[in-house]
Amino acid sequence: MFTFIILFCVERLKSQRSMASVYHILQGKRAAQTIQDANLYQLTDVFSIYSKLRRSQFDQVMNQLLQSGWIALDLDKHVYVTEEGKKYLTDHQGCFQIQYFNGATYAKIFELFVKRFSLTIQTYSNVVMHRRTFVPIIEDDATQQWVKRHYQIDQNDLKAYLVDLHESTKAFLQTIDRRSAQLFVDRLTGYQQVGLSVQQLAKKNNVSEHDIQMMLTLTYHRFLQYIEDRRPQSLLRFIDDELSLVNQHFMTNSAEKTYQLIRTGLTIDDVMAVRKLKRSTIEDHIVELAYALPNLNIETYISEVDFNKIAEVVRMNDNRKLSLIKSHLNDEFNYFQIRLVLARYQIKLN
Amino acid sequence: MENLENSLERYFSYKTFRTGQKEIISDIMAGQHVLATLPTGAGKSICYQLPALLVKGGVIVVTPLLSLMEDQVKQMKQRGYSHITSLNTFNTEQERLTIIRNLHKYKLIFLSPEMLQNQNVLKKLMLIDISLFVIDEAHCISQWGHEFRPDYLKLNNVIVDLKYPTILALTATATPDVQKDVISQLASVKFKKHIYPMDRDNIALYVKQVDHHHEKDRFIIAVLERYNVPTMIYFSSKKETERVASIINQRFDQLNVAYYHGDLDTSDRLLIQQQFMENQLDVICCTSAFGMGINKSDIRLIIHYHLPTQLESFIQEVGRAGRDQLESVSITLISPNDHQIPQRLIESELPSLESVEMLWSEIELLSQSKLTVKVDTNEWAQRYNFSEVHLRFIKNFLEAYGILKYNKYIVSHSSIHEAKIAIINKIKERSRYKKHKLNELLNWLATSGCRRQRLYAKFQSHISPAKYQCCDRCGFDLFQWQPKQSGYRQRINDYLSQLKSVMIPFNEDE
Ligand SMILES: [Zn+2]
Repeated sequence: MFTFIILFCVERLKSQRSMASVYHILQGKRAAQTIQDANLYQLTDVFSIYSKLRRSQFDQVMNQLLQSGWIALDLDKHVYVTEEGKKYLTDHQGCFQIQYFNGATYAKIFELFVKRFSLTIQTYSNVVMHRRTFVPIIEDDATQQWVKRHYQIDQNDLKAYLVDLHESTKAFLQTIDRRSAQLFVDRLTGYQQVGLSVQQLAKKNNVSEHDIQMMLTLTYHRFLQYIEDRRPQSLLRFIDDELSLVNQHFMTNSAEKTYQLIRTGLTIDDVMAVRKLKRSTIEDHIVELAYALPNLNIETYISEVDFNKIAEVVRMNDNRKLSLIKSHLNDEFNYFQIRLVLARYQIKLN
Repeated sequence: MENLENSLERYFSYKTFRTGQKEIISDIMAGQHVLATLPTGAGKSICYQLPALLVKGGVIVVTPLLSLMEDQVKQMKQRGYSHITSLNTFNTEQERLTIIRNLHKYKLIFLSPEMLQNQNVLKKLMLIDISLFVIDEAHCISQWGHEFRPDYLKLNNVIVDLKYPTILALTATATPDVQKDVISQLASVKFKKHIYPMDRDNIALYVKQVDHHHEKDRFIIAVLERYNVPTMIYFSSKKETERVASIINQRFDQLNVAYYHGDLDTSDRLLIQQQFMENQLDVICCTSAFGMGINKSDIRLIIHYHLPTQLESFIQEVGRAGRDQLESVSITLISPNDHQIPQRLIESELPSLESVEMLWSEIELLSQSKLTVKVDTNEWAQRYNFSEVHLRFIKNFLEAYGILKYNKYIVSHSSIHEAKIAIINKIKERSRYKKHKLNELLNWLATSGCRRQRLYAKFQSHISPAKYQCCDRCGFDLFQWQPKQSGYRQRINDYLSQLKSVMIPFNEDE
């Protein structure tokens, strides 16, 4: 599955990006370039689906793909999918159900949800059996505090809550395929029953550890979608205080700060002075904002006439390489203006 | 005041103390400084965890290993004890500041020796009432201990600054030499000694010489064919834990086996540990990273696929078997040239002489140009390939000679050359010492006499006779061993019933 996801990303990048861009998108780097790439090449759904992925692991997989001849590098070190790789993609079309990934939306709450959900099950099922000493499988303090807070409310009626939680979880699992459901359950830890590690799950299912990570993430994304749609009370609590994060703008923290300033009417020069940042950085932020906020007023930065001129060239050319667009326009406009149009154009397309 | 037994039961749900615990705790409560050696698994931590609940002031525990610290904090929190914290270099700056600000609110504070060199921490500690100062793994004070930590030497000054709280120095393995050294390094403290034997009379010792490491694999398979008991197999290489685990896995359908080493991510490490505790795993292939904080009493079999670097570690690892006092076995597998693995490990523990020479040339050059020069010691680590341990060793030296100040300034100093000679001598001496320790282990393997007698001879004068079988030299035949075998555990493979048993372990109708 991981191979499929990588090939899928590479294919969408249209041999205009390096291997590192794929990594940053999957890993979920909150940098302007990565967010722009994810938007531009329609990869927001897989953004940040594998935040634990280490660069060395990624490189290893990419090397294997290069060696097997499914991907290759062009002279600019841009990566593309070979004919053989494309065949793999068509052959496995629909196999992995990656359409259910919802990376950009769930990037910030996905891990939080998994931690709270897992620790709640472990804690409640042990305590309900009068076993008060167990090693929590989730170590981070914030999650433990969160579970403790809820436990204090539920403690007199743990059984009832567990029954509810079980009902809702079961209902969800029955909407997905058997294999994913089994994997999901194998991972859970409860009273006298410890979940399997990723390594063990990989062996059991005869796939790679990366595949397991992706399968689990996919199932949890579907779970989150299910909770948002059906809103079962016993599950909603895991995210309700963080629901704001779901809809939080898909942007870097630094861009968010810039946004707060330009909203008050500051110009690029003003923001540069206030934030002690370079012009190019502020411009990056504005491009990022244009992607994230469809209603952002960009007329301050580019006139309607200019916008239309650039948009025309973009529309006529499938290639989204900035330098090409710039030369098509006889170098009349700078990169900032072109990127701004691309950002807006991309949004209008959708 | 209630008696110690009642407190023990109330806080820890144990009915009786184990050997030594009560004597040590009584002395501490009476304000007596104590040096104690208790074997691994004898419940060292109770010796300060219980007093922490009884004394008025705070209890400081200095411990060298982050994992030990974290394990204990976790264990105590599990017992519902929340006035506990740990302060170490792995905290983020923000976390550390918050903990330091609130230090007076905690009863039990775990610290690394390095943190005690932090002036903010020390100043804050001087303001609060400290009833007990515990030096865990006290052998680290001694340069003859198997893991000397230079920062432990500075503890004497800390004790003076804190105006002599009651001291408890604890260690699992200390030869008489090391004990003497610990006492002389903490000259200002008058210790009462509590020395308990570390020999284990319920563990039979078996050494198997083979011609090739493939034979080790075959031997392990033969053993596992015969015995299904909770088993740990120790390796010094991460890759090998994975390889052998997969061999065992392929060979035995019904056996549950997993590997464990420092590269697994934290959540997987926790899961594997707990599966072993809950008997979901029969065999675990691990590096020495596994075992700290593992409190499983029915481990029956410990196999050393690779050798550790000294007898002390070997004794600790073997000591994880049979804490329930039932008959258990230690098997050590050796093939020709096996000594090379620990030898390489030893070499990598010290900075190379060449890299030290090169660093000193850089320092000499810097100190000629200006009186004080700002440096980034982490850059040294990159440039000269120093590990964290190497770097700490070197920085300690430079600080002791007044060449490095505040971790970032090189001060022009007349003793730069002198320091170089000293550090090079030190490295040579340490390396000789470590080789000597390894030789002790190798000699033990080659001994023709009783292995039990020889293994513990250095540590105690009287060694108890074996309760069950003794060792291969005394005629122990491994395949005559008849432990109680574990049943094979079936995992249900129906996700709906599995989900139900995880989430609703109780009977719904009640
Ligand atoms: Zn013997």
